[in-house]
Amino acid sequence: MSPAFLEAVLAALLPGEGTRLPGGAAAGIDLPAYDGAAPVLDLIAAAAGGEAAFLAALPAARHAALAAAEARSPEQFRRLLQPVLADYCEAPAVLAAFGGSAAPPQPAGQPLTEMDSETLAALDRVRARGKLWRG
Amino acid sequence: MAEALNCEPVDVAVVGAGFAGSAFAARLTEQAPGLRILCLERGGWVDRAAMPARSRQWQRAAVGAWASSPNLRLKAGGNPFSADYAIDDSGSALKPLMWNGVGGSTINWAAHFPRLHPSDFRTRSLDGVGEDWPFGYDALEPYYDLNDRMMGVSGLAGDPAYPPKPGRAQPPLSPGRLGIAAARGFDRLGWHWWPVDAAVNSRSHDGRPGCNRCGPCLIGCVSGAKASVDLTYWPRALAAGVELRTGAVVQQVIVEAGRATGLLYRGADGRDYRQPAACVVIAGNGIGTARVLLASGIENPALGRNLMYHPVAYARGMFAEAMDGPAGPVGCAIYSHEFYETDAKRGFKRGIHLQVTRENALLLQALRLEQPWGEALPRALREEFHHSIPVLVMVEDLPEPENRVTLTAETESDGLPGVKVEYRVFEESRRMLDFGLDRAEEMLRAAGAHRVVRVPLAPLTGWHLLGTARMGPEPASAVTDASGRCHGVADLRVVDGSLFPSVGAVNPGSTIGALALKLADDLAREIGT
Repeated sequence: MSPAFLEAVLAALLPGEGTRLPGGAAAGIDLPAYDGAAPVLDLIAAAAGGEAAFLAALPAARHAALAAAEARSPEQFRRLLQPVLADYCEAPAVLAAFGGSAAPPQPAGQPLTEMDSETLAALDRVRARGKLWRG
Repeated sequence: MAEALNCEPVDVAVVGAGFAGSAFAARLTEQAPGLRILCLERGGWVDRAAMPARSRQWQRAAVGAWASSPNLRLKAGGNPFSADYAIDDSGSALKPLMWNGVGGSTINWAAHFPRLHPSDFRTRSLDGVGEDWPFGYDALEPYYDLNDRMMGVSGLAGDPAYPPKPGRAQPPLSPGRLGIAAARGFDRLGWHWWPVDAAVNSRSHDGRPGCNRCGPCLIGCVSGAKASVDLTYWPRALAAGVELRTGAVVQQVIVEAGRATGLLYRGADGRDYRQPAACVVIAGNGIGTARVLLASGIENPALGRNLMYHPVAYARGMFAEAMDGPAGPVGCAIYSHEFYETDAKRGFKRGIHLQVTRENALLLQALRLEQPWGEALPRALREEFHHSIPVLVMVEDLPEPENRVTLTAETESDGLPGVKVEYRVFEESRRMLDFGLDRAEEMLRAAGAHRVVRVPLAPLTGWHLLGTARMGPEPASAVTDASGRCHGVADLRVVDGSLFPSVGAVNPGSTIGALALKLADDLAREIGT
């Protein structure tokens, strides 16, 4: 498989959003490195009518080729997608783009807003309703 | 097993070191200090340093070796701290979740800690459905209080959905922007809501730190802020002299002349042992307990039947304003019991629990999308990540004999017969789920959601493994009596969630612990007399 084809497939799989969100390549994804990538890539190429046809296709047609490969072999497609997505979603730049932190959850933890006075007042209204349970 | 090595006899042999087994052993040794009590646990102690929350790859761990499902853990190569066995869940609409090691499923639970309502103990008498418990809320209340003290509960007293409870040991957990926004929605509708009771420290308590709201409780709590019984009950039980033998896979209960006389188990060294005991106590959860009893040839028409998980659906509201993302104890914000008690006008008996939970990690959010790739992926994630409120809809699960645990013809690698679960969501539950989803959406819209997505049934929520060895007065319809004593087999008891005749619509952890404490007192009284 040509590097250009691999690059184009990755761009269709994880396109990113311009400067707001890195695509798969910028996040360091290397498709051929994943177990089970080759047969899925073959399916994509076949669905497009060959690597060259895929490269010549418009974005909508490339998307359709991926969708056809997924429909043809959903389990195979998913088995490849899960580790790819894991690497993508754990990439610091991707996490940052969605407002998350690249740091693991521990030891720093995360901030969380405390109950405010307006909410506490709403709780008084609940309390004032009296017993809601049956014996 | 013919070559089994004989062990020193004990007075009480408990099978399973989870919530029920630990609470039972700790209480029994306190009430009857002279007893020799042994607990056999198939798994080992979890090493908190090995939990993945300190790793950048923690997200994938949550769907791999640290997943809540034992089947997923096995598929990922297994988890060294949970001695999992495969479960054939192909015929089950919900997938069973558990942890098989010291602490049981409290290791990877959400620690949401509600009690049953008084009406939950009398569903047949009050509403003509389900089964009554052989005792009521009043009988369990002191044990709920004791269990709360042992586990350390954060919350707020004064909730009108419940009989009065003692002051909580710690203030409620922070609701976050998400909880405050949901409270606004409930308030606008005039509905009940309240901060959850949680077995998670909101501040330092009982030698454990306060929660720093890191988020992924379900892959284990690195800090120990979340209560799990390896940190609460077990240290007390061990200090009082209870023996805990890990890596001990019980193969069967030895029954001689209608009386349980001990256990056969495979030890951590791979050898088979015969453990004599004056009293055998099973606490292996609704699947493990049924599996061991069935494998032992215990006969009872209710054994393995009436499996209850609690069907769960989700509504997820999308908001323009920023929410908290995957921060905070995962199951613990606020809840509503506005629709918990039966109202015949709704078209079903019994009720629903609405629980405002928290967002998943980015990877988990992505994986549950219909198309987690292409341009749809960033569009969907951008709309909801840090901008959504999930509302869990959990409903009463009525006992149905067809929902059950059975053995397969295969022998698994742990030496026991394979186990299969069959479970479907019956029409009454479906009506409740749909009603609950409507109410959840109503609340989310009132809170300002611009779009609401529904998950009509969430398969990976089978935490609550209940009802498969239920208690009741009649051997024809119950496996044990009100004290957990097996009908027809002397000196054999069950003390875990398998006993629940009905399950209400709330998480069972609090009730499992309280029930085990009560049953320990029942046994201590019998011995004393």
